[in-house]
Amino acid sequence: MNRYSHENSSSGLRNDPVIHVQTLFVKYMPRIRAFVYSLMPDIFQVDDIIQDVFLTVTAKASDFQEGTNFLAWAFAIARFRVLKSMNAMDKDFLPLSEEVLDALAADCPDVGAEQDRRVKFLELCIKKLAPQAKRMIKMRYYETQKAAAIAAKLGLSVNGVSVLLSRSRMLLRVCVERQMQKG
Amino acid sequence: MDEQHLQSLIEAWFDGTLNKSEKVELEQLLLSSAQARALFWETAEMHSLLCAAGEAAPISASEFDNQGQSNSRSDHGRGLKWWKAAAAAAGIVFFSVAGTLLVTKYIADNDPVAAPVQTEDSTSPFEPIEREPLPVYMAEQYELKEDTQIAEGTEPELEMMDVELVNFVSAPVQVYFSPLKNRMWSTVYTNTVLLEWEWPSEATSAQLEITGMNSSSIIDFTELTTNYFWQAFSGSAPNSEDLYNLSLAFFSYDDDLNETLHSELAVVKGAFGSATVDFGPSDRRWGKVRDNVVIPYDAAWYATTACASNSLLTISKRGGLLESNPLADASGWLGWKVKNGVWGYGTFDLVSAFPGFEDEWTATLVRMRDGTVFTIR
Repeated sequence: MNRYSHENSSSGLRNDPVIHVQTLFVKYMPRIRAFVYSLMPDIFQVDDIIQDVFLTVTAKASDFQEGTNFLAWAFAIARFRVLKSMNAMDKDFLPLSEEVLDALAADCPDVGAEQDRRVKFLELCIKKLAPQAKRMIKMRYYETQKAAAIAAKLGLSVNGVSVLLSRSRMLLRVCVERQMQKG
Repeated sequence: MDEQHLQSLIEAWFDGTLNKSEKVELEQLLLSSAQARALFWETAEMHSLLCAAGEAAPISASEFDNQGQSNSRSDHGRGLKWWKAAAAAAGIVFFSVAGTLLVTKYIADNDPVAAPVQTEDSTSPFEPIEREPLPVYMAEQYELKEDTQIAEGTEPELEMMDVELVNFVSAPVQVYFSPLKNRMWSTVYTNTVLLEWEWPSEATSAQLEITGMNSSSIIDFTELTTNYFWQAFSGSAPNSEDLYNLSLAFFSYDDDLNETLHSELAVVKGAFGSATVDFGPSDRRWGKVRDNVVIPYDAAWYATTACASNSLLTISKRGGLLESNPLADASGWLGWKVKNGVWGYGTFDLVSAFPGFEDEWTATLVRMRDGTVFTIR
């Protein structure tokens, strides 16, 4: 089909601003996602936010100027979407203020860099956790359960779950960094 | 600044366990201290990595803990025990003789199936499990269509036998039914499916091969067998959708291929309850695809667009593969093996075209490593 022969050519990709920003979005997707995960603790909201960012990037494709920082542009859109989602969530959720989000975003490090490698090491590190800690990490991140639900299932206090999760993440952070240094 | 206290506040934020006063305290610290913001991002990184790991490999508790896994071979006896229980609970099955459909009761005491020797891959949905007996839901019968031309290397014709419903608790939704030809893929409405066939007099053994997008299984029959209960998935509803090709080959004494029967079955979530409905281009909902995709289409268009006899669904990856699927042959369902296939990640264009007509139906999907797909129609 002619349509495809045009779109599949690299020159066609570069000339169409929509396809160009979509291609950049795909390229930087892990980092945009990592940024959103960092600001939005409710995992279930993240897919919707990423979708909104993608649609906004697509709609504003002509605003993006070649040679400028795509990631910074996408992060700015993502930050706005996170704030919007936080404010739309139920009253039990306590959102960080816009001012705080702005301050955090201004200090955002190289978020999401080398993520594939880190995830690989992370999986090795998780296996080294004690059974209870491993189980809790699994429930929180692999089954995307909230701390209150985990506490109810395991017969623990929410605070107890939070402490265990916190310790587990700290151990994992040390372990992953050690693995990264070893290469 | 008490770093340990700050750390606990940040951790609590990510776990959603902060109270109002703690949240105010955390905000003040984050606004006033670059060190606090640095600690926030350090903590966020692990949270984000764990989220990414969970997205990439959602697994069950038993798998994670390496507990509760059963080997299909070593648990064969247990599997049979379950299988009998499920068969008894299913209660009613359809029975086919010489092309005539009859409804009959399945008598649990009469073991109708010889013990099969089953070979499975690691992700097979056929793993025997212990569970509660199934309610009498509805009965179905799928006939393996005889294909006498397979020896000559020609493709078998795909057909589905009529399906009658008995004692179901809720009416199934028949979708994508062609008024002209009843050629749609058979849809599975229960997690156990009775497969029946006639055993040829000259056959000494048979091999049933069930091939889906996500898993496959081979069951060997070494003695006369006329039916088999296939567990299409575990649990009360499927976790993922799939299309299965079923092929039953009969062999004679000298291991020569005697004849082969074929059938196709679709496991779709909509058959077990609610399914996402996209109302149109203005709908804000969007698709997320983490696994292989079953793409339904209305086989009835064959009647309403009579000139569009060679309808095509073309899937193309920008800068990559292009695959054209003639839909008239699949009649209702098309499997798109996104995961662990040849497609990888990237941007995909899907076009339904009707040769002879200018209009096309199009969709653009972007598949990310985390499984998210963005749709623009």
